[in-house]
Amino acid sequence: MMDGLSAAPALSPLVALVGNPNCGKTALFNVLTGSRQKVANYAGVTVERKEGTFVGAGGRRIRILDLPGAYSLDPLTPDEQVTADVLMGRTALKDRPDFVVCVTDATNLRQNLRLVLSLKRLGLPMVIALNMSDIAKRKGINIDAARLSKELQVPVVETVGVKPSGVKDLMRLLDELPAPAVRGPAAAAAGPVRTEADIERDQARVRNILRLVGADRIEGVTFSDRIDAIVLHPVAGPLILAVTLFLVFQAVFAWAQLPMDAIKLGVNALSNAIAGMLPQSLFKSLLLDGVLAGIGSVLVFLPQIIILFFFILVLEESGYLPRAAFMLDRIMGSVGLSGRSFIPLLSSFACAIPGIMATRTIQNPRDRLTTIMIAPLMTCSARLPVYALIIGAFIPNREVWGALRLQGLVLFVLYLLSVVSAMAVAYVLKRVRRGSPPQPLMLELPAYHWPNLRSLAIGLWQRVEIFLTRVGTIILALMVILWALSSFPAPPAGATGPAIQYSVAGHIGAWLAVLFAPIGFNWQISIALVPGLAAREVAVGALGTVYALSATGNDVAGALTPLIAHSWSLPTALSLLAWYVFAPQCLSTLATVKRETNSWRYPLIMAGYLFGLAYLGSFITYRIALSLTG
Amino acid sequence: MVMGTILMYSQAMAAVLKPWVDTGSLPGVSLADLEPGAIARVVHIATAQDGASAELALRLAELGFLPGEQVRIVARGFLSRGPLAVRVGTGTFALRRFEAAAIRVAPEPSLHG
Repeated sequence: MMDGLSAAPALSPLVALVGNPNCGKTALFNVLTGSRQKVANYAGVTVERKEGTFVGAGGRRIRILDLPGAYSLDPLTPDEQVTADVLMGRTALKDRPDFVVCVTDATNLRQNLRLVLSLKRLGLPMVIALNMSDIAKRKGINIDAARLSKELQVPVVETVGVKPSGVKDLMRLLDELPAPAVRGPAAAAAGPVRTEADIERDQARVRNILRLVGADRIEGVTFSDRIDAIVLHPVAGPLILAVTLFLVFQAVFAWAQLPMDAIKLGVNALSNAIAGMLPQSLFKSLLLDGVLAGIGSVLVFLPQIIILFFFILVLEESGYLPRAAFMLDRIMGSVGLSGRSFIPLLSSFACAIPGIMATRTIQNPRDRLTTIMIAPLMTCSARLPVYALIIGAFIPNREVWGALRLQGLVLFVLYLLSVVSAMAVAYVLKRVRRGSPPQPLMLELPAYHWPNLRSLAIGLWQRVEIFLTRVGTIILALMVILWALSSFPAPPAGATGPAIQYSVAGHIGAWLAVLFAPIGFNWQISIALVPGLAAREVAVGALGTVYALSATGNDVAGALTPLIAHSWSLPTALSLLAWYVFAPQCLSTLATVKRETNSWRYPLIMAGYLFGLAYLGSFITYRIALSLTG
Repeated sequence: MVMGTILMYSQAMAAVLKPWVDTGSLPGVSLADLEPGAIARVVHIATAQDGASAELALRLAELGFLPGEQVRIVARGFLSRGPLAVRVGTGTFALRRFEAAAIRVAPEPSLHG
């Protein structure tokens, strides 16, 4: 348009958000882009990207890249490496930012301004966002923004990243950015390696600037200090941590009951309605027994997954999670890990995939590898459906010790067991590589603040989306395949047993049942474990399909619980619970490990050792339960 | 590429792993010995010249542990030899004991007695 040579529309600028960890950068990104975000796909490259679109007043679209938090441009973690690579133009052309928004925590400029100075040396056009400026003002820190801008020769805008009205100035500035003529400036040269003396020189400059802009006062005892006096107290702290985690798991079961019942009722009603409308046919069987039964029995656990993620996000946003890591560092250290491994491992309680990806913040490669290897031992939410089904069917829901429920307690024990086994595996790995000296921790404990509702909602939605996508794609496909395996070939004329026994799935189940007989699994469980390879929760849907098809009546969803309570023995149920503590089968996790370690070695070792542990754990559980129940 | 990166970090970390320093000859006192609540000022970070790890010193510097900065112990872990929560300037970091021991400080009169 501008020149006759190019008919392409003007390029839209790419803006990179850069800042120290905990500077409120992600909240700012969320308020700028709203729901117009694209989180890096797990199937993509190793670099985890968060890109969003900001729509200006005139409908102009600007791409915004939320770079991982970094303390410096001399990377020490893979996360920082990504940030440095993007800023120095060492990535794909479409990822070269035209403009940088350096997000700073206005209450912590003493730390944040060093990164500003480093960024300035790169020579990219930039603006400084004085984020959390409301908190700074409340604390009596009145930063002379004009003076700061003059000292650094960079525009400065105040922002309050947690509300739309707090980013008006920044939005106006972004909206007025010129369209880049060509994509990406020339790669910035990486400067010589920085030494402590260079950093000291920068800090001297920072002190000087702080004095000039009136932000050099250091608060005595802060609000966060007063909370920490209790939360990090040697006695009260660990108690608070234990109670918090316990309450989270109780809530996952108690609060989810109502919406779960609603989903069950809805699926039943839908299934009945369809049953009444369609004539008896193969298609009807596929729809009811394959699709609805399978999807329904997985979807029903969405409320629990949402509640668990909600608590993890709240704890993370408020600043409590790093404190938990601090308190657990000593215990983690005794098995050769550091407190840093806590956050990836806690994320793994929701799903091992984001957990394994979060290990990129662990500096030490061995610590990182150990954390990756034990991450799948954490009870991911995909195992909840299996636990919930078996606990619901076999554990009476009575109260123990007053307010606690036995079902919740059993769930807690299962979680505890997964943590203990993970620690044991980590300890073994530590012994294997013995002689390794202590590793650094260096974990920031950010000031406490109220979780931001917008960030919570966006974070929750992104996770729900991943789950629903899985239900709608891989799980649905497997359900249909399993239905076909379970329906064909049809039973011979005059057959007496349930139809599925004569099908392909029935035969596979019969073979596997031989392998799993010593640990008490029947052929129905054995069949269900096969599609469970793709995603653990599929096993529940598969059980639903297997039993719906082998049952004579037309019960589809929801009938699974009384069915298995009736047809499994208690030792079998406990054995399956034990199996799922280790649950080796999750192809997506293994694929993630392959990508993160860039080798087949570790996913293969992982699959092998998890399978061994699962078989051993189930065998012991089954044999002990058998001898106890006679 | 990932393994290359890991290799790079293992080399970097190998430097951190060097046996710890004789701290007797360094200026100031160890940050790890500071009482909770007491205010001090950083006077020195043990460097390669002190027989410490260059990597550790650099990393501490990147976080803001630099001579002249004010530090304070916010909390100690509940187990012996556990990590320390350290305020430096306006930020707070959890450091393991050996990391804190690399930071030499001069105690200052406390504001709160």
